[in-house]
Amino acid sequence: MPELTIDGRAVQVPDGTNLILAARKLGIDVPHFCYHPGLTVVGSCRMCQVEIEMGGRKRMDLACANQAADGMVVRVNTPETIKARKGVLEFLLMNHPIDCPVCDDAGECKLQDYYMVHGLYQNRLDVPKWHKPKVYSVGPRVILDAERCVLCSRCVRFCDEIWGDRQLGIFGHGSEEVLINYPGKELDNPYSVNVVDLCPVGALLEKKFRFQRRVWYLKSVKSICPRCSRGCNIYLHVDQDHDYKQPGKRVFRVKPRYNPEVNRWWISDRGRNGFDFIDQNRVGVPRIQDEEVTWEEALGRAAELIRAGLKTWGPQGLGVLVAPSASNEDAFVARRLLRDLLKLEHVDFDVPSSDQPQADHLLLTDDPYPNRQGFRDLGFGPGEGGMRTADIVKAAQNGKIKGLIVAGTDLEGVLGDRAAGLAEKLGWLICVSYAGDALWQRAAVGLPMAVYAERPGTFTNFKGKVQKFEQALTPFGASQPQWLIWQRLAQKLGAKWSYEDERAVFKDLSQGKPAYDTLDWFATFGAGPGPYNDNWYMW
Amino acid sequence: MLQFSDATRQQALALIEKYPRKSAAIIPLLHLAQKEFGWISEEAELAVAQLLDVPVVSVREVSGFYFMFHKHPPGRYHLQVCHNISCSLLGAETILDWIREHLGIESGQTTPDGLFSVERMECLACCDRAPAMLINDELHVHLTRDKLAALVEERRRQAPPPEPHPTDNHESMET
Amino acid sequence: MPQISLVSKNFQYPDQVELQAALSRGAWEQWKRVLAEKIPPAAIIEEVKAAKLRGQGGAGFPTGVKWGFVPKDSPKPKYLCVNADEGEPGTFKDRAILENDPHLMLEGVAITCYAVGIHTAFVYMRGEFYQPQRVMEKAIREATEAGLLGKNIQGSGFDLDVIVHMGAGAYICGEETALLNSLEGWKGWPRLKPPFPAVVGAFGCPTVINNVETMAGVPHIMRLGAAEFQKLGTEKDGGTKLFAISGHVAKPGVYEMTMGSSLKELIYDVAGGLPGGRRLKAVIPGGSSAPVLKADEIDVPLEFEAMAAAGTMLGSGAVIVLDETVSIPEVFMVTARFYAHESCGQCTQCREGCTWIYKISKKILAGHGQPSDLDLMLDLADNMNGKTVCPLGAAMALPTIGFLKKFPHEFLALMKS
Ligand SMILES: Cc1cc2nc3c(=O)[nH]c(=O)nc-3n(C[C@H](O)[C@H](O)[C@H](O)COP(=O)(O)O)c2cc1C
Ligand code: SF4
Ligand code: FES
Repeated sequence: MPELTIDGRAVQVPDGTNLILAARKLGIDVPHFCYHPGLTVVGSCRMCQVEIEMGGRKRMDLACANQAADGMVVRVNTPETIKARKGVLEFLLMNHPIDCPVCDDAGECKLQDYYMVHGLYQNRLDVPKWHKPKVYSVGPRVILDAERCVLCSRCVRFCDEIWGDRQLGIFGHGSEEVLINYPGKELDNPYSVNVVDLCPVGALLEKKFRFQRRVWYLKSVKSICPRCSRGCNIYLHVDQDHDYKQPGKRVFRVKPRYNPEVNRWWISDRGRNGFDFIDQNRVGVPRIQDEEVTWEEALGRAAELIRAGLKTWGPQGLGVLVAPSASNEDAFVARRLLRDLLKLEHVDFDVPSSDQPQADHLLLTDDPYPNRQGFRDLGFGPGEGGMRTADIVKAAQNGKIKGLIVAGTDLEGVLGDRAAGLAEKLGWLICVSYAGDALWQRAAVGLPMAVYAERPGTFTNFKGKVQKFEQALTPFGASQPQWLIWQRLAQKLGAKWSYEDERAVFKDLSQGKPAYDTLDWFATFGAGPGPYNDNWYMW
Repeated sequence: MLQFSDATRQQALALIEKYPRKSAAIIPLLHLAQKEFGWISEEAELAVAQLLDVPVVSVREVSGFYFMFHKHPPGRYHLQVCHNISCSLLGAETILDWIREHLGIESGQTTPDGLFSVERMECLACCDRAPAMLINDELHVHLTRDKLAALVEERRRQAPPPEPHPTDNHESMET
Repeated sequence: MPQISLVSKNFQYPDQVELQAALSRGAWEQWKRVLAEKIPPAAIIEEVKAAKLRGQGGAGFPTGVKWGFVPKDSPKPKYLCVNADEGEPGTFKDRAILENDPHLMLEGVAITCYAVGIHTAFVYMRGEFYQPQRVMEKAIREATEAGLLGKNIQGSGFDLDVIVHMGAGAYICGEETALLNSLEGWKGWPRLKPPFPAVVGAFGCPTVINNVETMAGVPHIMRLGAAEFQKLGTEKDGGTKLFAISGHVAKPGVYEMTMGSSLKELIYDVAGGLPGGRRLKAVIPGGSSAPVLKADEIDVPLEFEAMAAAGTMLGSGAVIVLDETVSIPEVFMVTARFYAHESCGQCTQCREGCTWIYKISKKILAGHGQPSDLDLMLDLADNMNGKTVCPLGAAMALPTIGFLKKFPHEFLALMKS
């Protein structure tokens, strides 16, 4: 563990730590473009020059390509290093279009940030600039402005080193180089949008986010990606205060959040594109048949139906399907109601999905749900002699199951023909849903549910890691978190217990379970302390 | 897709054998492709990438980086005129002027009959015999306008009748 | 007399490129002796160190010391790369060796490989070297057939393959790590050092990279012995050096000189002075990357340290002579055009800076310059100098500073009109 001094302060870092990371540990930012902790070091942008004193000899050298050594004295800002970086910045801006007002990256751009520190000079360029491709589609999800590109090669290295297929190249020679895809071969890997996060300027931009919002209006909330069982750490970028362009749209983009144990700096394009459901086709008012009612009325009717069902058909006549997109808190309270209180047997979470991810070597798993492992760990599932999903559906079709409760899944959408007429064959259907889907239309009682982004909670990923997501938005309409719906239903059916909030549920469910001990509800999750700032664009 | 002739393919396979890594044969194979097809088209890049099992992006990065690989078909006689210090001290620009005046082409252009193209070159490492130029792979030195006129005239006489587009006729490109 | 014939001794014989003729003049004798006497490899390295042979590719690094950096116990194969990329403007001395005495270089290659324990040597030759390629490939073929290269050479059990690898037109590939990337099949982008090629070089293996002329010196060290060889030069630079002189001289060409002869002698005594009775204006003494010397500054010894003390460099030993008729701003534009064309595009300062300076130089020639452009170019040069991966950035910066500081009036004169 070498100990060195950076800008007059001592710091100890592990062997092999480069000077950018060592400085970061002290909260000192060494300006850089090409360096990224997740990629190989190329040292080509030359922005990170610092003064290094070692054994009495001073030299100016790269912070990215030099490792900390015992007794090293590093000065980030000296008149010489500032001039050197100023020079680099001026060279980069030489051919840059300086079109910040129409650039989506404004506010997250290293050129802008560093200009505030190193620039602010008179423009000395009076020779013509290069022209390169603009508004050019390099792939289905990414758009390129090659004139803004600083040729840092981060995107090239991402495709090459992380995804494993060189889908982008820097073609040409010297100052005529252009970063672009091969003609007819697109940047279409399932992680392609990571190059947008990596791009330190506005050269590569996400099509989905193009001209959607100025980034400074976005609120960034720590969350977990619900699109597969990896549970990649993300930020949800939301804005509820500006109503231009698409009224009602609240979530604008998903950004990766560094977590060394789960997803490092990356997320899949699937995860990044999986937020539309939050603002589409939502239901916000409880219903009895197709009439809008109050929560009290709806819950009262649901409780009545369940009680009557138990009396006439017995527990064998009722079935419950809950999609494991619900949180641990939801699953825990649901289990207390369905299994412990009502003693139902045919309770399952193994519901199919029409949205199957394709597993690969990087992050994606083949499980579309974020919390299947949590459901298992919490003992949610059929009782002895209870049926699994496929059999429950069959039993519902042939009349063995008369009352069905479905939460968080559009069974008809999934089963297609096989689920046809399901609702009609049942005595009743109670539907807990966020979307106005086909089942919702046919439910005897419809209970509108808040989505994960509208309340806090935890998911357990396929490796058993429990991770928290925070509330990014207020629940749509009058919708409520699933656990609260189960709790209120339980109270109507005679339960004496009650939790104040998600945190109270979590405390109870993690009682004596080591897997949950690591998680402190109040901590900010992710990397925790260390050299890695978890703010994605700080790299 | 573009196919190498059998002979070239054999040559390519032998070349690959010489190196500890296949990628090392990218430049030699691009040379072979250029010899066979006259220039480096997208199809040629794909063919090289396939033979070597490397990403075509890498092949294009290479073909775009090295100035000797033609991105368009050059003329049958490619005049590569050095315009670096020693040659320009001794008249390289007058040589380029002659070409502009008599052939009507500037660096990067080809005569309409496809016979001649011209390219400005950096130092050819024969400054002692300046001004110098290459016509295809032959070095010509101590150039004067008269000497150049004679060289061009000679090639005009030697040239076979115009042929179809070089990519259409592989056989006749082989030398 | 400073002129001498060692490396260039047999350039005069057209048949020296044929193996039989070369053998008759003593080619390959040292190689056969090394094998016959089983001279220990370490002893050869010591001999080359003691001979004070320095790299002739421009940087002048002591050759034996460089060989000594190669790890002895590495389980990986080792490689030799002969740098035959000769692209520095004004330089044509390697071409002279390659075209006139290929067996001399090959013999040096063989001895070097034996000394360092190498069994594959690549001769990385610039793509435009069609004639040198033909000559070298034939020489390798003949030497292999004669059992001087190839498998189990002269029954010694030592194997050596020599492979000519042609570049494809990119000056930067003369830089040793760019050469390695190019050899591996990629763009010629120089690598960050460390690791140095002696440890991690071609294909990730320990690699020695030496200039053609450096290789050609090795057989002479073996023949003369370290002491004799060293004495031909100075205390720190042993042996001789080929100088390539061109531009406005009566007898341009390649001349071999003892280390430490003077630049003035080279121009006037050896190359016959300036033709047509014209007066000298300036000399670019070490390839286009070397800062220019004014007419009254040329009385300097041709030797690494002395040239550095004179504010320029020996570089590749390429001397370009400029007479009084030359326009310095024009020569400067041609120089800037070259670096702008050849910058590999990796480092920000070099990629953008070379082009920027070139554009300004054109603007000045077109009569649109302002006096402030000179300060701007000097500042750009300062922002490039020594701040890039490889020295090409500096190779633009240093001549810029040289031309602008020594001949400012010529630039200013273009602005008044
Ligand atoms: C831009 C640049 C171009 C170079 N070109 C050549 C070259 O053409 N030939 C050469 O031998 N060395 C060239 N060098 C020097 C090599 O990097 C290296 O120092 C040399 O090949 C080592 O061999 P030596 O020690 O025998 O001189 C060049 C260096 C730079 C920075
Ligand atoms: S200094 Fe210039 S030529 Fe050298 S690596 Fe950097 S950009 Fe390439
Ligand atoms: S050179 Fe160090 S970050 Fe780019």
